[in-house]
Amino acid sequence: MPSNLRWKIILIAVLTALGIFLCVPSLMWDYSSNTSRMPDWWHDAKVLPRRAVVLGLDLQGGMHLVVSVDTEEAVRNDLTQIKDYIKDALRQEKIVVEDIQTTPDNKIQIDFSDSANLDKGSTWVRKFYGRVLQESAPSTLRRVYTLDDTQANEYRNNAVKQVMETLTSRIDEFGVSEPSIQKQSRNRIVLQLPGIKEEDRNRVLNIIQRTAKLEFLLVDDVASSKEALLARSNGNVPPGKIILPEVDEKTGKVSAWYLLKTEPKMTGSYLVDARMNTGGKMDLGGGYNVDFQFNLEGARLFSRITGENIGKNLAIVLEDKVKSAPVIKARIFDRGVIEGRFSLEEARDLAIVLRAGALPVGIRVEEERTVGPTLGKDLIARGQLAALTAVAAVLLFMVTYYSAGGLIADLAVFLNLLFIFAGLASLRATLTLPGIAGIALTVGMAVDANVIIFERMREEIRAGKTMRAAIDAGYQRSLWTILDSNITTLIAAAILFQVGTGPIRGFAVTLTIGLVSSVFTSVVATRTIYDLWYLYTGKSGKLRIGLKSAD
Amino acid sequence: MQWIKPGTKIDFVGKRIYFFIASLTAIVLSLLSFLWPKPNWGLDFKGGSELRVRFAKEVEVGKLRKAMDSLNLGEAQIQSIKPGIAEEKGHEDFIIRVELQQAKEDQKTVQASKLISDKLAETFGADSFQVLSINFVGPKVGKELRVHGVQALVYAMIGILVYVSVRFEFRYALGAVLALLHDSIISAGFYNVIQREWSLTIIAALLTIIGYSVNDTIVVYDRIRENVRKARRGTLGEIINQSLNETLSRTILTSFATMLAVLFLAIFGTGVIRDFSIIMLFGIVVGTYSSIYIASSLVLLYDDIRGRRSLDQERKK
Repeated sequence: MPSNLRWKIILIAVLTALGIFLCVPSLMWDYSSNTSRMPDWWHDAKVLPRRAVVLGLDLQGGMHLVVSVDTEEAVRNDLTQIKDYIKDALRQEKIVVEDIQTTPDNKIQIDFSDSANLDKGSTWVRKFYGRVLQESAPSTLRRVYTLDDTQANEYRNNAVKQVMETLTSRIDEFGVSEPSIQKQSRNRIVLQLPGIKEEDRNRVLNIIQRTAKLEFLLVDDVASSKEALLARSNGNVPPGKIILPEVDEKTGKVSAWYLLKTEPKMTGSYLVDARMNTGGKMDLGGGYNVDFQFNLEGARLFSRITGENIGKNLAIVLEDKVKSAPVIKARIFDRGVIEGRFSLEEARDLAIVLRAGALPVGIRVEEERTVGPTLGKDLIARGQLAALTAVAAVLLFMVTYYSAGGLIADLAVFLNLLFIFAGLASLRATLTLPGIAGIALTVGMAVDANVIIFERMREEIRAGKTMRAAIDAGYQRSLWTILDSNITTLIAAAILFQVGTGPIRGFAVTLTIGLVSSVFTSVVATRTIYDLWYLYTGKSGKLRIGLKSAD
Repeated sequence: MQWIKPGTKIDFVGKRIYFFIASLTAIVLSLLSFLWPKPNWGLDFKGGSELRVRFAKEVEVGKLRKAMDSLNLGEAQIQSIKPGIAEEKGHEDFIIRVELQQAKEDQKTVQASKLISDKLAETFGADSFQVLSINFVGPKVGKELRVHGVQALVYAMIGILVYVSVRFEFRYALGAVLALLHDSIISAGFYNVIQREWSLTIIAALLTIIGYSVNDTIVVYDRIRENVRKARRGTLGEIINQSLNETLSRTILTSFATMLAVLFLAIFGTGVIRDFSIIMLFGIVVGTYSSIYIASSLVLLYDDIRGRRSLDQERKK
């Protein structure tokens, strides 16, 4: 046997064995419960493949969410913070300003009282914020500061990063097996949550979207309407104060309006734990409450605030709504309770979002695709049937048209299928419904390489060549044709992978693996079979490709 | 078996002017189909909320429609899906689609999907149905997806243009890409005419058609190149004709094999697979046609315009 041929046989044998090996965990996978049926020793041995082909959310059932992060809010927030710093600093430096404010187009605008203050003030801002703020002078006493683009982008990226972290811990707290949370574009995040059932869906949407911003603010005044509050303070919200409503959890109606101090600021960022409890007041028609606990720093701050304000009311504000405003009876250290008369589910979910932390900025669901397990099962069954009949039809056609040669091509198709599944399993790619169609389609395309070769061989035979020479010429002359035509299709598949999401991406993956493996199976594998056949049968063995050769 | 007998001598390029006219007409009509009857944009591109609901018993569509219209969620589309071939009978699925994602109710925003399932429970009883899937696409995303789809097609063609230019010559690449443009526009036009729903999968199908059609074209080009090197006399037109005839058998057979696979996907597949297969079937036909009648003839057209080269010059390339 020529050594060249021997190496090819070894290569094919090794790849086939590897392919079967990689497919074993998938064959032994129980897809209904998503557990492996492989024996323990298999799992204990670290080198053995454990990954099964992962089914896409469209087949397995689950939730695919795309959320967008309000990154402009992040820029606004950070800019406001800078403005507050500057304001404080200028006051300390005794620089007089008429007005300092942020503008709707994200700039800080300072009106100085006179040119002396302007000189000192703008020098100060340049010195400390020159790197991130660009100064312009629209009028003699006004200076406008524009946020540097790179800095703004950093604020945006940070916001997305924080949102991702928060969402990840919220999903972890909620309990989803193998979730995937990834950044999609500048301000988009994709969440893939397998196995979420229809009844959990609304809870998940709720948990993901709420900001969970928790604040503890001292109460200045309370009234039944906003107008009444405003009337008591001459029609304007006094500086350093805000007005927020108290909303009844059950009816959604506003029950009172509060005038609150924005300083001292105590927020939920100091929380280390939050748990729901029944509050022991179920008999009073109360419902569930949520207990929380601060970390050390939070406890220090909280005890100072409560210690200095005994006898006053402290409002617990969740997502800009007052939940309750109890009187501070004594100094409180690290524990507290949010009394909101919540339902069991609300209390549990509130505890989850509080534990996981607040979202720095708002997010919005842009896209949702939820598939229940029933539909997934239906789709798998139909997809399988369609793919199997399609593959069978092609296999049958090849044998009918090319007789024995067709059989060899069919063998290559089987090898191809094996490689596709092995590739899917080892690359951790997902098999989606379009992916199943992709497999069937790849089979159609995979025989193409064989058709090119066979037709070439037939031409050579018609030109009077012997079988041996026809095989050689057929393969040799077809090689570049096959490569060229597959590489161009590969370009289309690669772009499909780039732009597609979820199911479409699954299609691109199967198509790509299929194209690569079909080149190998048609050019190397079938060739080897021919060579072997010829080697062992010699001239007497006529391998038919549906046309008689000269010999 | 041998369907295409060897030694065919069909003059493919001689009558190219007629095929150009036919193709141009088809392209113009296809482009017009975007104005009338207009593409049937699905959820992916239009945005909205969609529920797939399975009823255990038969329900009156009229009653369902009335219930949905009372929700004030914009125009409600209701589509019935009867169990198909080889599928368990005894249930009926409906796809309910509304334009809005949410509605205000007592100052609370409520998800459209929740309003729909609550209304269904109220009208038909909570145990009579099961929600199989929920999809929502925001208006922003829908528009983006449409742009991305077109971008994907353009990038794929640029990629193919570059590759074929490197492997062959620019005029071949131009011919191949124009043929692809031809295939995708006419396939899209066909899809508009049959008024099936556009989804992301259809964009994937168009990309696959492109990949498939260029495959055919490359095989022919390859043969042209080979024959140009071998040829001692004859014009490029004659050589192209000869190459097309030589590869005809392969072109037809591959198309047939792939169509066979796609045909079964169309018969037994559901939903997106069926839509995918239907446009694919048509696309394969157009792609095969363009590989035979258009792509290579375009190379000749290029020469007609830029001035013909002799075969000697050709061979040096």
